[in-house]
Amino acid sequence: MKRGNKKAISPVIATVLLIMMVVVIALIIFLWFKNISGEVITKEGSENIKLACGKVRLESSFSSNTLYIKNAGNIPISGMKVEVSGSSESGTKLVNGFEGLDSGSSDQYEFLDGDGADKLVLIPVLLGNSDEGQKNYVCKNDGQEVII
Amino acid sequence: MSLQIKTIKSKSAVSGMVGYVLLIGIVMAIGTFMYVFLQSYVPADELICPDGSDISIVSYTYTENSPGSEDYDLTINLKNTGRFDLSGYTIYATTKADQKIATSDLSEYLVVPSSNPKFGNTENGVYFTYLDFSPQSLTSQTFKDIPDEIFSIDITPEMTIETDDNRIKRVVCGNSGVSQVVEHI
Repeated sequence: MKRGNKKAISPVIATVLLIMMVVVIALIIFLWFKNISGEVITKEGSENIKLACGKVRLESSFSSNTLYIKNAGNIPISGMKVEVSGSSESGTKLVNGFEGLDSGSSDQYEFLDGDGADKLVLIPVLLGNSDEGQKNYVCKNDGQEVII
Repeated sequence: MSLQIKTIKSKSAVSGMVGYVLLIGIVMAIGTFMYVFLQSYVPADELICPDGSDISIVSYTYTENSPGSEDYDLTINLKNTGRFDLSGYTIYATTKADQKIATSDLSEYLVVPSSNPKFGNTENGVYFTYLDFSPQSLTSQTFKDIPDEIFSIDITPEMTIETDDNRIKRVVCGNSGVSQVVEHI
């Protein structure tokens, strides 16, 4: 069967089609990868909140079921969790009554779950920005030990 | 049985032009993706006070508001012993003898001069307005009617720093804080 000089589509249309296909495929790959890599939460401009977690500076102590916390850094803290170990109340607990700690401020909180614990680790929660608005991020890997 | 190999030497899959367009398109798509994805992982400059920012408590008086009163007055004389202007400070006190971290905010008891106010208090700390708290200068601050007995005070200086995007930000100098044990007369 002879096809001779007959062309299916002109070179210009072929080029346009190819470019469009590349763009569409790139877009699909981008959206898919963005989806599997998780939502990005940022703080202070475009910095990933995971990096901001590393800049949190806390001073703390625990005595008589009271937790004393000072935010000695320049990252405001919106929430606080405490990892309790070595007691019957072991696990991660929320600090009741914690309403946030601005830079340089300090406060004290009743924390009955810490009674008899060997070790308390403060886990700060930061407020960041995401595509869906403001979101809290728990700094799981940046816990700071409390002096008991 | 003979093996026939067809030569496709002269036949091109895509033209040279289309090849270039494809390559550039793919490179740009990957580049854009990498830029967007990794942009957030570039650490921003941390806002910290420069070395040499410091504050000292020169002297203090801590007295009962009036004989037999349960309220106390505290006057502190502060000196900027650093090399930079300070914009304010946070002041917290301990209310128990064995307390390690001061958590009682004293800034709400600050006496703000009604005429020509040179400093004021916010929800968190004391700020200087017209007062130029420049290096080596002194200022006296009085806190009246403090309801609890205090055992020590913690003062942390603050500065204002201009960020890269020309915003003025308040920065707490966590490393330059000063503590003072207080005893009432």
